Amino acid sequence: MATSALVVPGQVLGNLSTHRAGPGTHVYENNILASIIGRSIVTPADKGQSGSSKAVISVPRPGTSPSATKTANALPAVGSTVLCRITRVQQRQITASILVVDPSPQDVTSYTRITDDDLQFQAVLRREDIRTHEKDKVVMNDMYRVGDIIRAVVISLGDERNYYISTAGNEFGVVVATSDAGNAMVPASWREMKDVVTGQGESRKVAKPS
Amino acid sequence: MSDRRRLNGPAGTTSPPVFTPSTGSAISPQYRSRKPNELRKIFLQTGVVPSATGSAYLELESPPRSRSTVLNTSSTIKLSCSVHGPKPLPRTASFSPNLQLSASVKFAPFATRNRQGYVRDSTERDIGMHLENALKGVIIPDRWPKSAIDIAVTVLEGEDDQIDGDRIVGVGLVNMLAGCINVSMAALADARVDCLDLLAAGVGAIVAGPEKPLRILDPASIEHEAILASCLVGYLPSRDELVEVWTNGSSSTQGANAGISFDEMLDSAVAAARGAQTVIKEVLVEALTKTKGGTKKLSHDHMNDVEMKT
Amino acid sequence: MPSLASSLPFSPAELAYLHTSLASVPPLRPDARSLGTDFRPLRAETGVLPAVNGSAHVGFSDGREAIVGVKLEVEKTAGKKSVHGPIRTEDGVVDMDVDVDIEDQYQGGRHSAKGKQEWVTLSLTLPGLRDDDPNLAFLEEMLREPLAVASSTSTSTSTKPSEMGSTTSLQDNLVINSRWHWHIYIDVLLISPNGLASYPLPLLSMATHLALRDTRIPRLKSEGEEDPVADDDWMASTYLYPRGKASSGVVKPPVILLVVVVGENAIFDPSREELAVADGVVAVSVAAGVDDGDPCKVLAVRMIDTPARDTMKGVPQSGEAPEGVDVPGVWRPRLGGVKRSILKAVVKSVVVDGVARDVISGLDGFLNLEAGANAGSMAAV
Repeated sequence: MATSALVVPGQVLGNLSTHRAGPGTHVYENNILASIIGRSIVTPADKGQSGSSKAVISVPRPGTSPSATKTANALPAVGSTVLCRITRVQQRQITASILVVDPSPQDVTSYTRITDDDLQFQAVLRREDIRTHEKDKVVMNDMYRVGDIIRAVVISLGDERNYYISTAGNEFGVVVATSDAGNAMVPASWREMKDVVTGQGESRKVAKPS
Repeated sequence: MSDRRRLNGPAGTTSPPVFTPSTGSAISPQYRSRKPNELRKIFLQTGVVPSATGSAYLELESPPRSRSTVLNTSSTIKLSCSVHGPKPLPRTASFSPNLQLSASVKFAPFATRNRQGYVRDSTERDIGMHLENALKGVIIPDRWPKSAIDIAVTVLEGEDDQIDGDRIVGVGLVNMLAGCINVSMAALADARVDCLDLLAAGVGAIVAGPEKPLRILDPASIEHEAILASCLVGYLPSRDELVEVWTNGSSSTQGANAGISFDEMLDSAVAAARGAQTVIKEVLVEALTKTKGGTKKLSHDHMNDVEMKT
Repeated sequence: MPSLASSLPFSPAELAYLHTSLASVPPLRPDARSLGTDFRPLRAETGVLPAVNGSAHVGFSDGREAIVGVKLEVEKTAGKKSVHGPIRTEDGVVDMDVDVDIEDQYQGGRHSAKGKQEWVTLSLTLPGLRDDDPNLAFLEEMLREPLAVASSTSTSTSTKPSEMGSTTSLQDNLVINSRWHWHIYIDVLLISPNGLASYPLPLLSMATHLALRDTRIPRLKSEGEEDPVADDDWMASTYLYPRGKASSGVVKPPVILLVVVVGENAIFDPSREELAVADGVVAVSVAAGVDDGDPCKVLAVRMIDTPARDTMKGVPQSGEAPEGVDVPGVWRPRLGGVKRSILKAVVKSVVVDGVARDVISGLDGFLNLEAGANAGSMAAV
């Protein structure tokens, strides 16, 4: 991985005949140009991928690792892991605000950057996407409560304003929650969390701690 | 536009006396000390508003002069710009696969020598529209589906065009728009919104010279007695494309009569834009080198903070 | 926000088709106009409103109509700015200078007196747009700007009086004497089924042009520095823009032409479909030369946001194409602006190649026809 000079939008980074355009760049007249400010990075060709023998030029955004080449945007895409806060629980679906896209490990606890729901992208978690098994027996209130922070995966860009997310899978579910008493809770099993003070258990769909 | 939502003071007010040193010096125009192709110095800084995704501050100043009288019209532009977003589309908006950009320009009440109200007037809307047109040409909107971005420029100090000091018109307004475009571009780049190029705006003008009309870059209205025509461009240097053109004042294409043609005026505006672009580029690169270490340190602090909490 | 784009429901396939046909040389226009410089037929009449100084009604063949009324009011010239600004005082040095200035200019006759831009008020009403919509302010400014242009030009009369005479601006004709002036109110009303969708600028501009040429200033009974008293006799009034033989040095109000750039082609008087795929939209305001042979002058140029930027992209049958690869016949939203050379070519075709002159002489034709018809009816009575 070669790091080169600082670039500004419009600066020519390479040619399409020798390289491929990665995130943070665009193509104009067969040249690869930077589209954001930053440091340009040339990632050698991935031998595993079929038909792409060219190195990828990209300009990563701050906060994203250079390896996350799929989306260098802060926007969710299909397949991104997101951290959401549950804002509404209904019979058929759950509404959540997306807090962090593609979180790094330390993001799990430093999730509260923006607190205004209007500034966060909204997500919908449908009942059938909550878990992989016994989908018809899901009771929403035993899965998630308003205020829980969950880890989920984006399955569709959705409609006009909602992204569709899913928590089917062991690693998805509640990561941070508070009990009825208002205390923090710790995971007890895949379906229960315990109040750290009172020891009272509450039913949740818990994400497997990493 | 008059302010109809408030109770305004009586129309007939007393004016404080203004003392001018002498008849001759009060009105005498300040002559341009720059060369015809020399721009005013631009001060630009990014990252000035911490709560915004991107922000920038721009200042344009002619050399300091003795402030002997209140009438000494300033020729200064001070602008601040903040970028908010990309954020979700408002609930009322319909689906769009592109980034919805909206830009607005607001004069601070103290921007001109005579105080202006908070009510948005048509000049601000017009300038805002120009700015929006220009910026829409530089962003790559399909990188941000279902998102909106707001760009707000506040004019802290506006170039006074007339001796009256109330409404900014003519070349003062054109210079203001050029500043708005430049400061917004810096803020957009600071916000890391995908752009085709570093957009820069420049102003060229034809002024009345001693014998024949002269072609100059970056005209300041107080430095010239008569500006025959002015031309603003928003220019993308790497593509040789114009995203914004605003010319005013009569010019012919052939250059037979007035001596200077429309094409030449356009080219001088482009030259001014190229000059401004070097400033924007340098400022962005400088800001990048400065913050490189800074962000790492910040995230480190962040982790410590978290550990203390749990 | 009612933008241009949201009201243009074209699919990516339609857009690609339109763009390809308009970008071909010569352009294939959807309404079968053979040239890029062809205009659609329009009908116009002047003097339609009873209670104004001048009016016009213009209708385009696609159903859009505009009505313009022009009113003049006598207003006191705010030369003594003691009311407005704290800076100006009755006995201040500045004030004296201003007074002197006005008188100096006044000696040169009516045309050399300098008017103020504030004396020209233009207001626009568009269906479906809020009063504070920025698009409205933008359009109003665009219509007003060329009228007020050249106020600075006329001050340089000292250098080349003969040539600068042609650029006397509207407000300079509004001066009555050093204390009084006319305030001109131009009210433009658009009647159109689809609002901003087919950018109504040329229609509004032509209607304004005709209304201004229909505008008459009442004859004044008062003279010189007296308070103005108007003559009631309408027949004694004079035209704001004097009419006469085209070669006798008459000034005409400006006309704004809307040009869209598609590929290398410049296309005039764009229809809704043509606007939707424009690479760039340019409005050029021109004033006719004083004499027939004179080239037209460019008064103002503005670029307008093209709706083709905010569109859905098309997906080729073979699947998503990689970035930067243009599949022919597949729509891509337009990015960036207009090449510098193309913009210059557009302005050149407006001014040098005579599109502007053709338009203005076409509008002259309307007025001459009407004048002829009026003379005929008078004779019949």
